[in-house]
Amino acid sequence: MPGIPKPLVQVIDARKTYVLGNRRVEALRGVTLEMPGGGFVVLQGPSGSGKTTLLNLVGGIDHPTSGKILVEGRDITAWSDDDLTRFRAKKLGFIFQNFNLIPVLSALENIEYPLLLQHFPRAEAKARALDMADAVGLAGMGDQRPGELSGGQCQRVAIGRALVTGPALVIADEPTANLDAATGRAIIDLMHQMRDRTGTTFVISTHDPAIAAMAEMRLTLRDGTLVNS
Amino acid sequence: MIFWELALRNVLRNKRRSLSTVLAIGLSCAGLVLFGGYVAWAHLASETHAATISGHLQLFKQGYRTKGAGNPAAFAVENYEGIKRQLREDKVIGPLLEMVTGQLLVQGMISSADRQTSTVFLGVGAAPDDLERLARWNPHGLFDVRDLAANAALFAAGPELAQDDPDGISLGVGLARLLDLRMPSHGSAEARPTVELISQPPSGGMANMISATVRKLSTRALEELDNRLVFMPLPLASSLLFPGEEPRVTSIILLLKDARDLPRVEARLAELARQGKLALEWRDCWDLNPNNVRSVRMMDMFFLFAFCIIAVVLVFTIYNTMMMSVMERVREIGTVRAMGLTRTDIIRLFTIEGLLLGLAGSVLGLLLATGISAIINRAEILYIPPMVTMYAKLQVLVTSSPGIMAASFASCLLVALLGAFLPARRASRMVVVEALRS
Repeated sequence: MPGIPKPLVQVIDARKTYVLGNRRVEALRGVTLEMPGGGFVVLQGPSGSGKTTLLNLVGGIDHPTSGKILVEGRDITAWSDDDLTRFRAKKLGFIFQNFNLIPVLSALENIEYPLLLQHFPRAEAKARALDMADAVGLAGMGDQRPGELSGGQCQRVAIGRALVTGPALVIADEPTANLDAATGRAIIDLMHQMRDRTGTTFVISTHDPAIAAMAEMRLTLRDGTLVNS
Repeated sequence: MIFWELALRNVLRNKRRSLSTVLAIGLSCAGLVLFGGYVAWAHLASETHAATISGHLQLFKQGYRTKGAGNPAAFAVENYEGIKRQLREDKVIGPLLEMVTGQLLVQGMISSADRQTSTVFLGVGAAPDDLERLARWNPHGLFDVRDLAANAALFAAGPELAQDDPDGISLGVGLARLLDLRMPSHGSAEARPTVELISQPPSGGMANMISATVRKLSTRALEELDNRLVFMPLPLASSLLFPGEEPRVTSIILLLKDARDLPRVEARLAELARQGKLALEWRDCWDLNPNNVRSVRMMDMFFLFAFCIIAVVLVFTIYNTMMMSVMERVREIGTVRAMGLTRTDIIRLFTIEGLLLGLAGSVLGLLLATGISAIINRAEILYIPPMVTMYAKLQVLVTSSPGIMAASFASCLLVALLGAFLPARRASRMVVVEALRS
């Protein structure tokens, strides 16, 4: 309907069942939800509640056993691996609990890497990466390798890397779990700032009620089911 | 370009492992190049040796191949000088010729009146200068075995025959022993031993006999030849078989400037034969010296066998290195896949890493081979090859065999690619969420 913005992400009756030996584990049991564009969404729930599974499905790195995932109105569940890969490169950014930076690249090169994968000219990629490094508070630290950075600095690099291509959606799976409380808070603040600056939607999973309190939209999962929104 | 940079940094990430892999590739590549260089030398030495024994081609009277060996004198080629002239003046063959000469095979009895001994002999009548020129034929510039101190005794008494020594012949050491001949010591005034050669002319009638003096004793490669072979000047041999007639030969020997012209010369000979201008049959040096062909084929088989073993070991070495690299980087693979690297990109990344290892190893191998070959060629490593009696010097033709260097280099690269491909394929097939969870 005209005037009503379409949600960025729609999850429609998504189910995911894993087979572990003879055991079937239902990680998601029919989740339906919508996430608006430009929002700051927090997924919370105890371990094993299905947070990471839901993030993986929304991030196009896993397929639901049944149900649909729509991003920007397009159903990504039936896409091929190559189509999903291209989609992830252009539309998504990922932030991981363990940072997952590439150890042989410097902080600046880690930020630059997604741009080079999208065939940006070297000079432009470097300029954008420098801007992003400044924006995430890494000015002057671009030449350092991940092994030479603190956990908070590594996560700043990861945020820069996730945002540098201008994605519509950033998925962060427990991004503060390996950081102390103060650093974790600073990282969430940075994500807020970057959301405000870029308009990118952030979807974050966390156990931390303090971080959940900073969200604009909170989704709680328990035993693979959405219990409140 | 990003893949090459990233691959290079990943290769350098575990320096010790990469270094050991590069060393393994380098040593294997060097081994291949050195063995290839030795085989290359064996090919050239074999070709040269065959040419020094029989020339590149020998022309015989029709039917010699099937029946001539039993009575070579009966198959002697008449008009020897005329045919030589015809070949030299031929517009195709002439420019390709280095030398045309003839040899006459003689069978009969050899005896020593002084020692009261006799036995059968197989004689080769040859033009002394041509025989020496043939023996010194060295178109590829290989190390001349005459320069080896270990062979000095073989060449100390001069050539087998001499132009200015018309009745001087040379015998095998075994034949001299059978005849109980003793050569005067070097520099003494004692006369050379005299022998009598008796043979039946092919025209029939009485056996003919000539006298000759023994100028040199040489050890022959085979005992059979050592006990029977006699080299004598062509006019002397011809006077034994065809007294009072113009010289005839059993075969006309063609020595070419370049052995690669052999097919052209054979084609021209066939054309002349079809036109009725040449009533002769011919055999090339490989046909006349089958052991040379077998020796180099055996070397080729050894090389192929060594290559297969080295290739298999290298594939497993590189596979092992790359598989360890993949297993250490599972989460990284999951991360870059999530970021947008396709399965093909992952294969590309890991195969480039394997290629870089192969490239570094192959370059190292070529450098090692060049250095080691220089040491080997400078050192005097001697051995006696099959079918000859003199020492040869071990030589490896590395820098003068760019084909072998290029082939070894390319083979090692190919093997590195093969060894890297399977781990790369495995990395590309990882499930992203499982890789991230590791």
